[in-house]
Amino acid sequence: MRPWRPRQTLTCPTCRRTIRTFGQGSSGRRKVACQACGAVSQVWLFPAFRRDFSKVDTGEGIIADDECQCFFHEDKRAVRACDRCGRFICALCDVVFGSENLCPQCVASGQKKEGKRADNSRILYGHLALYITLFASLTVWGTFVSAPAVLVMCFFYWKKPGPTVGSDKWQFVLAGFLSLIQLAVWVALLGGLAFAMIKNL
Amino acid sequence: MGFFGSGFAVSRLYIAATHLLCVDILFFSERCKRYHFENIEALWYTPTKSWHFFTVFWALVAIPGALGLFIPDIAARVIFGIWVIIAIGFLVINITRGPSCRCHIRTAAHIDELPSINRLALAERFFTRVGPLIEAAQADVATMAEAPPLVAADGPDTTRPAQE
Repeated sequence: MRPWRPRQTLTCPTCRRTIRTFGQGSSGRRKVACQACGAVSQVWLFPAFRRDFSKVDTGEGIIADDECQCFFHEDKRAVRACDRCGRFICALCDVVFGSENLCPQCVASGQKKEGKRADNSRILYGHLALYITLFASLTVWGTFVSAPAVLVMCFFYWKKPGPTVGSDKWQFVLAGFLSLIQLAVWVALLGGLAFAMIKNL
Repeated sequence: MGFFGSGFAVSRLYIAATHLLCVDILFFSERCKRYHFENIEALWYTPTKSWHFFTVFWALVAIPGALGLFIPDIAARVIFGIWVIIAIGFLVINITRGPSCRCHIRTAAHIDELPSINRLALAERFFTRVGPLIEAAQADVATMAEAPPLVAADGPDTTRPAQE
């Protein structure tokens, strides 16, 4: 049986093949050439690269009959109860989530319920409002619908979370301002048309 | 630190006290990813040829525009003048930013490209600034890594994970 070793490999960005030139004591900075394509990369390996994942606790087996068993693994000893549902869980099932110790099922259900909070992506409504305004301006007729829609969007989505870094309020302001101008032009056009029709009658 | 912009796609990289934050914006959708210093296993960059390609490309775009300046019509000269200014502008920006590269980051779970680190000079600055921070955050891991592996006195290596 071959002893398990840390995965001391990297992927060549040019040819996507594996670069394997790292032995023991491999932390630090060096130049590495890909054996397949010859591309030379500047590599900085950190101590975590040699972290031994074999020391992960996978849970102990049950020895005595009076020991509590894990809810998900009958043959493993429970080490604690889930902080949400109270089920007994083994070391393998114990998921540390912030200050809580949860079972995998509670983590999964929590992601469904609080998906918005845990999500790492979001819609930037400021950007969206500005894109709609600018693209509708290209079509001219599209502004008849887009201008009021963007104004409503600016009003209702003003307090929605913006970008992770910085703010998109100026985009709301610009989109709202442009939409107001578009709306004013439409009102003037339609008003003038109506006035002309009434005058002809 | 670092910026990559291409039409409606923008990627930015921020260095925080404990992690790197990579923010990608595509049209109106934002995705962000955090790489905590203690989880980063490796950083590497490889020079690419896109710098040479775009230098030649913008030079080739500028040449017809420059030839168009010899047309006697004033309107045509204005149009070709704008063409040349834009092409030379991009050419100068490309040359001043220096040779290009692709930078990657590796954690235990992912290997990701950092699109915002796309120039050699920038990558070098990034390494110089971030490398010591990561090494400082992994000081305890370094001492653990130096320790000899746990091997049973007789019998197979016990460091093999139970799942395999």
